[in-house]
Amino acid sequence: MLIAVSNGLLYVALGILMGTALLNMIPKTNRPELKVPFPLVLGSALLLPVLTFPSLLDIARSISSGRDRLLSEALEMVVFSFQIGTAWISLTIASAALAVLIALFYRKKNAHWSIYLASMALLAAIIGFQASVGHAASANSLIGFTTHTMHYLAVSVWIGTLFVVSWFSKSYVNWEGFLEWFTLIAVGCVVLVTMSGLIMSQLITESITGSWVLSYGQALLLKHLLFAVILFFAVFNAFFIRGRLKKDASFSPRSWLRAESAAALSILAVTAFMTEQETPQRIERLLRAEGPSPLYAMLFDSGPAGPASPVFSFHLPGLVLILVGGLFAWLTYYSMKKEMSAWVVLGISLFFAISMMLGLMSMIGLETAAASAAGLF
Amino acid sequence: MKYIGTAFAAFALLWFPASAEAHTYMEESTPEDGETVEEDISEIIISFDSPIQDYNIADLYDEEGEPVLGEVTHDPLEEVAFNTDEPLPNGDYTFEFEIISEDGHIIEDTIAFTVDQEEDAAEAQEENGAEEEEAAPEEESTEETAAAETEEEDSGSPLVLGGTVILLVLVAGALFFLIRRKK
Repeated sequence: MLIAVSNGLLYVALGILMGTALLNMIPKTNRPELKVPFPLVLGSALLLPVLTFPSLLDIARSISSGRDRLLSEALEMVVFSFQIGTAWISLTIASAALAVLIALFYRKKNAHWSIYLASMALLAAIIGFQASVGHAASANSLIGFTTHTMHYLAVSVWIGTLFVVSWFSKSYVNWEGFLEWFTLIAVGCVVLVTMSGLIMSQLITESITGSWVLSYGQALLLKHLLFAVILFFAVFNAFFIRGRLKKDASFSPRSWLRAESAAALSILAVTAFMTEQETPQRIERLLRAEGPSPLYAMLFDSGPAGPASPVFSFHLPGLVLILVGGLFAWLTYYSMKKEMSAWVVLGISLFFAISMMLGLMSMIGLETAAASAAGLF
Repeated sequence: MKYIGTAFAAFALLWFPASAEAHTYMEESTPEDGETVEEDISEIIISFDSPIQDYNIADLYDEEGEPVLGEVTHDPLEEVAFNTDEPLPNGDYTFEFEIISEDGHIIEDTIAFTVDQEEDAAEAQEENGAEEEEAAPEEESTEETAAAETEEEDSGSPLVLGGTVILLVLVAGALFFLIRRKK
């Protein structure tokens, strides 16, 4: 739980830092006027080593309990001789350098753009250190590391800019000029995120649909559905919002942008949850050891604990859920057309994601293996 | 001043780990998971596909769940070996382990195996008797599992599922009418 929460906060902090650096590099004529609280930016940089520390602590705790070592001794070992420790030390140094840059230059009116470029490079390095000890890198070294870094970077640029613009802009005077470049960057990032995400799920999960019986797979499914939600908002904010602005001069894009960033936050929360789940690289082994996820066991027949394999099986209530999910998808669009508030539209779209997730995961049943194998455990 | 940023950027790039090798999974074990060993055995070896940092747990338990004493070694780096002083008597064993991969992920797993040696006739007979005795409760336990299975199938899950489906349908319906009323 501690790891998931700190990872979630870490994503937000990285997003704020990346968004602030990128937006500051852009000439004032091409972006909304910003007022990012200075303590928030500096605090985010200082918090990076703190937020990444719980993973190390967790390993140290498990070593000290398993091998009867002192926690401090185990911690020293993790920090100084494990790869994750090296990554953490590098991250701490990079964060310190970033904090120095922020403290010295960020409050100046006309800081040179290279300061912000350097901040972005430091952030890229920090993301690289994180990715080097992530799930994808441990599943397949180089490809996993590269795709994870790309994924992480693209998300921080896209979502980070979105966060900063939606929560810290003072006015929307240069909106058209902002959309011009941001739409391009956002489309590029979406393409990168999608491609690297697909490659990573191939590396990490043995079978995407099969993993829907496990917590990790369900979270991934929810993430995919929420990605559809955020794309809906992104398309609205990038294209439809101009028409709405022309029609109604008093219309403020703020709530729509904030709704999009709230959708992004929900994805980050799901991702943070996933960092604490076991990756479904060997689904049957996990099923045998731990059984299906609590959510799956609560809703569907999971049979007795024991060896089982996920297979496609038609499920009538599941079909109803998928249809209801489709209805919610249409309602999302309908409520947008009817010019309901962005928050109502967001709420409906979350119902879409939940119904769809439950419906799709219900279509995977568990086939218990032969009784002879069952005798073993 | 102008170049400080560029210098920082270059420095940051240098910090990147040259490569990030990792991927650790148990590759094989002697005895294998589920194997029945028919000869003297006093060593359990699990080997991984890459060097591991260290082990946290390497414990052998007999069928009563009692720990079996032994010594653990981690050499070569891809292997963890568990050595008992004397060959293991017949019975079912589980070997539990938890290791730390090179990049600091914790991997835990269990292998189970059976030692079933034919020793001298008397012991063998004794064993047969024991086996027969064992056969009976085993059947019982299968029945128990079957009972548990039906119980679980009859449990609240359809109710929770049904409730969820109905709730979602109602929400969708209510929303439809609410949105339609607008303008």
